[in-house]
Amino acid sequence: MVKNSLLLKNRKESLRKLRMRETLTAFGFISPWLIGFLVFTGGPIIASLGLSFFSWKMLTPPKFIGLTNYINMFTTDQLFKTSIGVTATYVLIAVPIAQVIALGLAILLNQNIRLSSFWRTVFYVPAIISGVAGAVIWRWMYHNELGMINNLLSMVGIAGPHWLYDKQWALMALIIKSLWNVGVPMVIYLAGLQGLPKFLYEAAEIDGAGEFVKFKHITLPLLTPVIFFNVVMAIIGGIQTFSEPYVMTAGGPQNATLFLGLHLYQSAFSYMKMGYASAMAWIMFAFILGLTILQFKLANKWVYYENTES
Amino acid sequence: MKSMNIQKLSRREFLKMAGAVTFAGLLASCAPATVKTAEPEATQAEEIVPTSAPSTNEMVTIRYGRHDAVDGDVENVKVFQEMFPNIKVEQEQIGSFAEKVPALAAAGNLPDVFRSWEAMCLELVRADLMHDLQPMVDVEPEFNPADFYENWWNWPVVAGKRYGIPDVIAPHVCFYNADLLDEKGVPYPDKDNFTWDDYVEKASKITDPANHVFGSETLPIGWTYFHLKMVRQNGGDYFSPDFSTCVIDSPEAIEAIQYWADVLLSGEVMPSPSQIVDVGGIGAVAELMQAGKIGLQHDGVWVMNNMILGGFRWNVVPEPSRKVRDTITHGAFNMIPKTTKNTDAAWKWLNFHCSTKGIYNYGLVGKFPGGRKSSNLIEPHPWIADVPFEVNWDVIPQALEYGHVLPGPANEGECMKIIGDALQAIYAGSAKAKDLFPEIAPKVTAVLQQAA
Repeated sequence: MVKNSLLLKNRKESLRKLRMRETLTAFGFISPWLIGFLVFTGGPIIASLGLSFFSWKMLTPPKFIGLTNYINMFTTDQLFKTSIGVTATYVLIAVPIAQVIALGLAILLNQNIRLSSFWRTVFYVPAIISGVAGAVIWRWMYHNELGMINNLLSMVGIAGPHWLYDKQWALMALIIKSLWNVGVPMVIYLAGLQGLPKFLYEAAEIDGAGEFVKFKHITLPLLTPVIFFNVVMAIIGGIQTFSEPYVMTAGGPQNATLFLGLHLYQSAFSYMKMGYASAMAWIMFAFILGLTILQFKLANKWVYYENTES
Repeated sequence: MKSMNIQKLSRREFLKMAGAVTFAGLLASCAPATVKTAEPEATQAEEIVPTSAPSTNEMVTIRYGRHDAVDGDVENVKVFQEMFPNIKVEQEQIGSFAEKVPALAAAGNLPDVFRSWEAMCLELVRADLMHDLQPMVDVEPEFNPADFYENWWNWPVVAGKRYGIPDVIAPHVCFYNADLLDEKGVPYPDKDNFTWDDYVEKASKITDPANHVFGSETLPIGWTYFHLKMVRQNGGDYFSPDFSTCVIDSPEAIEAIQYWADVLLSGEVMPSPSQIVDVGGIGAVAELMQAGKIGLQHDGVWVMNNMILGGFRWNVVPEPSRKVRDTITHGAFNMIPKTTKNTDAAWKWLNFHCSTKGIYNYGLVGKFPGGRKSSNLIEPHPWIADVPFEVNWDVIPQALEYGHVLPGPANEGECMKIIGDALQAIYAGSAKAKDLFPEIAPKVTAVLQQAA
């Protein structure tokens, strides 16, 4: 009996040591990434949280000011409120339109059409062009007199606006520009469509359902998890928009395209208010986190998963 | 025999390990970056550093940072290194200058000598990051401070201490397309008496919007300081001389900006920014003039190299004036940060680079006149090019006599944002200067005094 318990104890000890060795080996393999993440991402993120409670102009030592940055953001900084409005407007308009277009394109590509691979590539290519390069291209396209867009409009007798220099149209110009990235959600929708069970459509056809009925009662409900994913990702990306306003409009004209990300950047590097910019970054994070949690909670009401009861 | 049952790592154990590693990272990164303040060696460097002290044989490398390309100073580096074989000068172009310099300063990694823009110079001085150069100037034989243009020599002086020394200067002048003016039958501007009204009158006679020909280049709305010269030409300013107050609500400033806004909005003198943006690239004005699309433009002389290659007849006159002959003179100040480990070598380089011949060599590349009057006496003059037509070359160095350095207020970025937003609204026609400037002046003053 004693011998058995000793054996068991030794066995547990050797298992523990083996487990520790394996764990350390695993950490050894992932340590390059882990160290890089901590030093260049995780550490600075936590440092920025600390900095958000300081006033730091980079050239002088930081000064602790408590919650002043956060309070000023919501009370005295008019540009912060402007940037929230611009960002919210952009997300509320650009995201639904992009999802509708992406889903529409995916449905078209899911048909048995010729050159579907070619068209899939054509719609996806803009997604692999860097944000800055795309922004420069579209800045040219929006040129008042030499740009392709106004030239095309003039062919049908429409005098195009001054797009990026018109306070009424600048944000819409950026929204239109954002639509050329529909290739990303499109391929995800396409994958979702191709994974839908065909027997449901066959059964519906037998029952005499038309295309619209099939789309409304089969395609859409089964696609809701994909729609949910795309919408969440699009909202996160929309709130973080930076390169387009930075390259195309610098936040103008008259702050009509002053996105939250751009205001954050300007606060940090133009006004040299690093502490304030850090606070703004955390507020942006809080917005994104809050919206994402809200969407997850609301998802229970409209997202249908096959293994749940309808 | 029972098989060994290896237990997987539990979530709690994994979290403990991850927490330990994260804590280590936190310790390493959580402390806010501090700017290195003057160390004892730097305090010693505050005292007089006699450059006539014998050089050691030890090889010293110093970094010289600028916003422009390094080939601008290659000749100076070559001559300097021949004179001082134990000092190697490594030039570096600092891209994204306005953003990177504060980051370099915060990291204590500024170059041993670097050329700082006007407002940035004073920001660095206010943060006590720069050496006082006056003691070094005082012991330097034959330095001759009176050789510098007074407005540039006296600018980087704070509380009696001198923190920077200028080199080349690029003034704003007015270029005109002589071929286009001849074609339109418009008399050339009089270089001794050229007013705003003259400018507008000549430009409006040239303008033919249907054929995309405009008498004047447009106004760069996004360049807030550009409009300062017009305000000064009307007797106003953006800031008080000590940069403690915003004075843009003066009648002179309001009148100046509204004048040019009305000119822009009329569409009869210059294209709108949306028509001209991105057309032609960096040498846009020269190309537009060459194409016969622009008659006059008033901007910095850095367009000279493109104008020379333009292949059309042009000439230059002073900026048009209203009440005061004034213009902007752009340049930079060579400074030595307190974080340098080679103050003596840094000063040797700075002193050489800002010498008469050093400034002349540097000016030759960009065709700029120098901040030293003696450098502008050396022939061939850097700003003069061999062109087959007559040009009023004297206008360029003369601008250094009456032109002014850009201001250096505290919290410059935020101040320029407020003023820039107001200018955008005025030039878009959605507001009037008389309504907007009184509204923003106190806001800008509040920002200026935040740093006090």
